[in-house]
Amino acid sequence: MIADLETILEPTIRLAVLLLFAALGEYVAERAGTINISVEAMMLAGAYAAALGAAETGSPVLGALLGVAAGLVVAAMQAHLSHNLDVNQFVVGIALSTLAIGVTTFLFHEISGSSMAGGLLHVVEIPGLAAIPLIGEALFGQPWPTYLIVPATAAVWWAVQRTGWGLEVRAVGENPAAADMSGVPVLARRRQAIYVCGLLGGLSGSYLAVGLVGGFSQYMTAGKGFIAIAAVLFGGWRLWGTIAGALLFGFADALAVALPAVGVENVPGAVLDSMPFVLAFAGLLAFATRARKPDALAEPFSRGAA
Amino acid sequence: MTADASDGGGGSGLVGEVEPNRATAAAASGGGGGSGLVGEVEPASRRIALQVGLFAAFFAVAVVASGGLVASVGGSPTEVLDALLDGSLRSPGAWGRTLVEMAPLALVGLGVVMAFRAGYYNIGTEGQVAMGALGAAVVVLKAPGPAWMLIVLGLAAGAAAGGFWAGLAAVAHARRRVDVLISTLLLTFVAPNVILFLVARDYLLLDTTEANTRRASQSERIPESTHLPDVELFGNTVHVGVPVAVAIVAAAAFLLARSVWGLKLRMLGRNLQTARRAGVRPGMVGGGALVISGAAAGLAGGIFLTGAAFRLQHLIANDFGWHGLLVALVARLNPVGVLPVAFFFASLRTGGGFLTATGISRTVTDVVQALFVVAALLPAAVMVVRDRRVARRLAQRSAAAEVR
Repeated sequence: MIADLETILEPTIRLAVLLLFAALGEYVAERAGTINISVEAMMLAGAYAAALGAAETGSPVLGALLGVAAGLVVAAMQAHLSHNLDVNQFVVGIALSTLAIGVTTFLFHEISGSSMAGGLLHVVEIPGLAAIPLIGEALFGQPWPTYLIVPATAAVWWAVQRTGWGLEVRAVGENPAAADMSGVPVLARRRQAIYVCGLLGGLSGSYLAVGLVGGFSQYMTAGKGFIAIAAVLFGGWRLWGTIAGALLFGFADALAVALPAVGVENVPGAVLDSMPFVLAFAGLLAFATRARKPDALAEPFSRGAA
Repeated sequence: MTADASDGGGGSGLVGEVEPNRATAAAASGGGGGSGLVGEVEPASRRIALQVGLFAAFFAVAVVASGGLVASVGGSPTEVLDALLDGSLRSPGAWGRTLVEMAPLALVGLGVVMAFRAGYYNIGTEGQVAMGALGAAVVVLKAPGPAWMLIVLGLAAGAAAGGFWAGLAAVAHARRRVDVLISTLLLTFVAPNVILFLVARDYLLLDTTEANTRRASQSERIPESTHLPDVELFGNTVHVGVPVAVAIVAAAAFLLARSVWGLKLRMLGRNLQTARRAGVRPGMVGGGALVISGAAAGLAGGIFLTGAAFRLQHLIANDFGWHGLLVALVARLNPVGVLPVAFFFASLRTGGGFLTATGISRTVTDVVQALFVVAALLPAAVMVVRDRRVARRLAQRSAAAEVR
């Protein structure tokens, strides 16, 4: 029984952490007023760059850094097209997602010949704690970047809730005109929030490629970025809610892996595979009305036009 | 996103960029001039000419960039172009094949244009296409009746199933304010699993005939009599879905441009408050547009099943949904542009099949499509930069006049 729970809990934590990296970034972007669909593109580009970097240099750490850089490149495009050149943010997001899928798939086939085995970041067991039954392996025996989620979450909380920058980020997401009047550079803050999302989205993709899988496969993010967006909406644009959403959807994701492993085999794969998406939809149905979203979410800002 | 998110802002949507002067006015006041004079200074015809030129330039850049990409992995751009043209236009029967691919793309693209115009960002068309194919397959395989009736009912069921799938998002938005953008996306990842579930069970849709000894997860082939009949179109053999799709797109383009309903859609997309005051009911008009766009995608799925695929399996949508979405974006949400862009994308799809001989992966066509999408966005962005510069100059000039 306990062994079964461990088998479920361990992938839950991994997949929840994967989602949460991206969801943290999306949380920052949305608080600043952008529904950043290109988080999927950031993750996918990050995953490919990380796997490629790890395979070429032999160092998964360098690969991960390259993955983060790839996320930032996507962020730069999203940020400048939508919050400088006034192109509709969703359209940019769709375009970038398509571009990321197309380019990574093409390069994967052409350069890597459809197989890529990169290195894998090593698992660090925290001495003592990893021996705790039930939660020990899940919480304290993971690939080392998993633990980055703690400082990352703390940093996002601190930056958004406790700094002047965070106040301005929230202000441009709620009332950009007022923020503008008080001298806040609205578009710059929104762009910076997207860069934060690019950093964390790239990290999330790297984590997938060199932390969990050890390589790349065609469209390996498979909608995880969209689930991360759903986690932010599910969490009502609050940090704790976002974490809860990531855990819940990570759990649904993990069931697909873990249920067959613990001997539950009569649940059809089709049901398991669609579970995270069904659950996310149901979660939004249940909680979407309760949350107050940033007032200016998805509204473009241009001085004098609002 | 949803209609209420775009209220007030008006938005820098693609729709807005179709009309040149609006952007100018906003930019002029944004630059501090506040006079909105730019439109008077510069005739609209010149702006349009400039935009057309920019489009041509950026599309040319996209072509060159695609060639560069092919060259960078050691391929020959001219060979690739040759293969693409052979596959899509020059080889015998190619026109027909390309037109057959065009029909679903155009229908999906048209639906997206409608929904986006109303501010309902339906980006889950891939799932709606799949559900449409499912609806058509169920009727054609399971219902009794004469063949012609099964075809008609099958296509209707396809449209209904696609509309239902989008309708889930419409209801979730109307009742519980669930973001359409996200809900349609999430549902897209569910649809193939619904089909997979059904086609893996012998008491449902699994092909149980002798031919399927390995019990692959797919439905039976639909009977020959229920295939869409062929017609001759300018010497090319295509199924009847092609002229039907073209007629639907043409009719919808007319309605969007000239009917009260089309006006309501555009009002809703531009400004929710104003639209409400003018008596537009967002749930009915916007949610309706979302359902219709789902139905268009579903019909596309039905046409693909009865006209070309003939067999249901879980990846039946075959990227028609995603590519149709891109068609709408490259056509800049203009229904008139949907057909030519759909034809272009269809030729990339059919041409892609001929790339094997060149040694370049057919996935290159995905990159080309994405590059064209980006290229289609950039002219408007350039115009914004330009307007800003003009506005700044005007502001300086008026400031100088005040000093004097």
